[in-house]
Amino acid sequence: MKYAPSFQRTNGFWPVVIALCIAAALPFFFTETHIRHILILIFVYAILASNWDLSLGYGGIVNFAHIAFFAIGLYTYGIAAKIIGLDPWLALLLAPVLAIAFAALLAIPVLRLEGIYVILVTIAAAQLLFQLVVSQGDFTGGTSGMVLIPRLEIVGYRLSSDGRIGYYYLSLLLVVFSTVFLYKLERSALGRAIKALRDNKYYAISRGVSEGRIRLLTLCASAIFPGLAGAFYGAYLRIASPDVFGLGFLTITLSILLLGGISTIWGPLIAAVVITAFAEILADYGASRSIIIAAMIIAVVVVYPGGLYAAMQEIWGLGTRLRTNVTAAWRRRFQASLRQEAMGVKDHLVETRHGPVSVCDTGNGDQTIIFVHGNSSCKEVFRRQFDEFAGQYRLVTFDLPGHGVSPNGNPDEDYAVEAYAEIIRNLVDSLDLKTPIVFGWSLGGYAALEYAARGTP
Amino acid sequence: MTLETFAFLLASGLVLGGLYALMASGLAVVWTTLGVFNFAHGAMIALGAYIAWQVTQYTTGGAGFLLGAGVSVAIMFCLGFAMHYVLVKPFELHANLVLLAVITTLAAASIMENAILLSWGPRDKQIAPPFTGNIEFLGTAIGIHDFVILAIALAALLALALFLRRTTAGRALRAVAQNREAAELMGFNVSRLVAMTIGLSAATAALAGVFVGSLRFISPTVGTDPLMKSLIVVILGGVTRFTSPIYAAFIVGLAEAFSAYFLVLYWAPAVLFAMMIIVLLIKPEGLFGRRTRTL
Amino acid sequence: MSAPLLELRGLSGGYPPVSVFRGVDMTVGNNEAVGLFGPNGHGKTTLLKTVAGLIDPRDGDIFFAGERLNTEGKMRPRTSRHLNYDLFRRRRISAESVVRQGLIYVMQGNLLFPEMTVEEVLDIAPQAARGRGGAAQMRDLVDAVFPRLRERWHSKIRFLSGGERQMVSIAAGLLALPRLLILDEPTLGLSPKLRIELCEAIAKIRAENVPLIVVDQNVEFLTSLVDRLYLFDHGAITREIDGSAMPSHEEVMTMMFGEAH
Ligand SMILES: Nc1ncnc2c1ncn2[C@@H]1O[C@H](COP(=O)(O)OP(=O)(O)OP(=O)(O)O)[C@@H](O)[C@H]1O
Ligand SMILES: [Mg+2]
Repeated sequence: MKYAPSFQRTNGFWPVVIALCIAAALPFFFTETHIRHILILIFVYAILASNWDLSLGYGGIVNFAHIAFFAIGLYTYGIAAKIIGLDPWLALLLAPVLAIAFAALLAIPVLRLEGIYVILVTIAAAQLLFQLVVSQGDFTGGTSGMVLIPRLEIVGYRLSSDGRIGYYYLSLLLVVFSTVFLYKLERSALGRAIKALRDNKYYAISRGVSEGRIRLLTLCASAIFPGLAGAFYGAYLRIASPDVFGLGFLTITLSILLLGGISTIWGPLIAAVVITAFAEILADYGASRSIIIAAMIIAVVVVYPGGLYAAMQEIWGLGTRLRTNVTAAWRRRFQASLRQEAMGVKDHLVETRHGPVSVCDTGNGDQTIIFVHGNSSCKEVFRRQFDEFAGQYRLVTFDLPGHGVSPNGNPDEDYAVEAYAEIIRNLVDSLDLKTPIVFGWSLGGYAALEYAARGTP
Repeated sequence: MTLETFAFLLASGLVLGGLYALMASGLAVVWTTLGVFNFAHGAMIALGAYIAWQVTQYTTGGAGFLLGAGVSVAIMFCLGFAMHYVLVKPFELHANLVLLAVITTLAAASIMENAILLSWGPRDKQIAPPFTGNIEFLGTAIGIHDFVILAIALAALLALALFLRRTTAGRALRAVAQNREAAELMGFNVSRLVAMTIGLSAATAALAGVFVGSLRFISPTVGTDPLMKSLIVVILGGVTRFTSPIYAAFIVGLAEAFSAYFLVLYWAPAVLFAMMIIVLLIKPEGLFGRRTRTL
Repeated sequence: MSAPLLELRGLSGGYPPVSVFRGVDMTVGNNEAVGLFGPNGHGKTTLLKTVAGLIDPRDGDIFFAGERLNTEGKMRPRTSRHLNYDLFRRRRISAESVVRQGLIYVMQGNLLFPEMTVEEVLDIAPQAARGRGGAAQMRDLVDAVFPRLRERWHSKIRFLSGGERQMVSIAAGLLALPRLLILDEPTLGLSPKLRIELCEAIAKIRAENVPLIVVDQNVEFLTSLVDRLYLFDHGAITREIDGSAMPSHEEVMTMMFGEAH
């Protein structure tokens, strides 16, 4: 079963390629370490937020211990590389393993709970971990954290040399891997099961989706890249502090996720750029910066809960609608003769409850036949029937909203079989068609049935 | 353990319990009414403490303390009332209310904490405890101030309980919490009642803040620890009845006092959180609760 | 006939974006009892919730005692899927003001307030009638019609039986001093005995000249109670039957579903 087109053929392909090229080229334009540091931060936030979306958006599990995965990665790297003395690269790989193990442990209470209780138990788990970290000062450095954690090197080359360029590309690589991972996962059977559980739990279970297994897998999968990112962060900054458990870090990551838009892969990536850059612009304002950012977050959530990505899609959709509407108007205005040639009669707009539709009305006879066309078609498909029956019947056909030369409808209301049936009824009333025969083809057939089922009042 | 230590731990556990009860009932009232967890509760506690501190700068002594508490409670009530219209009301009917409210209340907490930082600076402050002197209790000296705090906290809880049970306005608040649509059909202004609930919650937070501020030092993030503690209390107790978090608060308060003595200091909170997870696993509705959430 | 008590003109509505009922015209005269009968799930409750102000109407008007309850004009369709319209749009009708006018809707299968006692519920019920007289008589009427409630005075609602809950709902509605009382399937899911008891109670209320709109699935009960009957089908009123010619259950079914129902 394959529903989704391959990535090369989606609308998103070129934007992603361009974004990648830009990201790969950026360090050549920005050589100051500070700006590169910001970019690396953006990547870390992007990984955290987009993977959080896996459990929160796609899985419907509101996991407030997500940041703890990051913290575990951070401390695993710190302890393994500094105290145990493991090779830093091995320590980097160990981090996600421990994060997954923690996710599996976390799944035990989460599987048994629902709704707000999941939020509470995950907060408790994160706090438990925080208390453990703080209390084990010998390993973790307690409240002051660990310093001088070993850095990453490739055959003697420090990734931090040349203005952190090595770390920049490593983090970019992590983002790419994480995004590919999420993209593939979302389109896999597992991804569909995850979404099915979120949308209709009992139906999904009755169709053989194992709730426990899928939720466990969701949590574990969402822990991999945050764990890696945590270890990366430790190697990059060379410190590990328990501040990562704080509400501040959580708030920023969660805002990135919610402002980007949940249940999207790209939204959190975009929001990570926007919010981090915005925070950087306001860097000089100290405490007021946090106030401004928080107020902005509230404003966006209150006004437009869908988030940035949804807004971008909606603006894109508006553009498409405008384009198609203009095309339809153009054709109505300047290509009327073409259509008249086909149908033998000029079409005109008739107002209905669902907006104006373009109607052809011809033939003579007491009995009317209404022809309703199918999905993605138009009224001109009936030109042969119009030729054939014009002598015996009055013939009426029309373009459904958004089809042929009818203007676009309102997506919430007008593209539904019920709406089409109502359009037919409106036409019957306004053109005085008495008791017509309704002929429907494909989608038009459903509309005709719906019209028939409603009876004539 | 001597009798004196026991008495001392008992007393401090009870005072802590009273404080936690005050914080947790404020949190629980909002939760039951809206189904929303108010992450700004901790910041409200901090803000309440700072407002009271400001008042005690002008008037000192017992009068200043009481005046500070009163002013702080009044201001925080209004703030809580207003918060409903900004943070919750706009997407009250949205399918993702719980999640959206999490982010708006977190953001509000950040705003309050940083506003405190801007207006009062990062340096620790303390509200001077107005009632000095000790009384003898089972052989140890316990500060009068602690007793006053416990008494006021209990009185406030009793007053809140009576308000909710006995007065028409309080019953209306409970009606909104239990069945919003039916309450609307009885002609209540549901929005205003919900805003009032948040206001009441903020008022209890302010009172708790005043007490916290007179027991320890206050800093802009002083609310974080109380927030987590009230969270534990609410989970342990459940929110079915107004009284259930109160019992749990005293259990937690006593447990904290005693475990700090028996265990290493750092372990006490970890034990509490582990306890909370276990309770959630075995009895998610809380030790004293039923599954439904009502006021 | 003088101006009607309640008049719906071309009322349409639903749960956006779904439209449930459209173009409903309906009147209730002063001192009249009107029945509404129709198949399950066709939108009667939705219509009445709209009249009660819980849901915004999409189009059309609601007049009660000569005053318009909704703001004029029609609801503009949403053009953005994610924009928070609740923020920008004023509600077109408010349950609070509808109830203050004395238009009381008793919800279908109402759970009321599970943790409150009968006494507490009936204590807050007259809220809507503040400033109007007649509370004492109404209290007597409630006592006379529902003597059972006194026996359960201090029980919580959640311990009551379905029938008793329905009684509390109706009693609460009465205590709000209705100028028009809307009962939505008051006998839903009751045992035959309780059902008869409740039907008698409603007849007693009617005998006190309280104007009513009653929805019920039992035509016999409806026809014995009401002056006029509206048949409601697929979100629209399909027929209006006058008091003089009240049909039997069979006849109504034939009218609605044809011979082979
Ligand atoms: N909250 C809601 N959101 C969306 N659709 C709803 C909602 N409540 C009801 N509906 C739908 O609206 C339609 C009408 O429901 P409604 O309850 O008004 O019917 P009814 O005529 O009262 O039925 P019954 O006789 O069973 O009480 C149904 O198809 C139902 O599925
Ligand atoms: Mg109904």
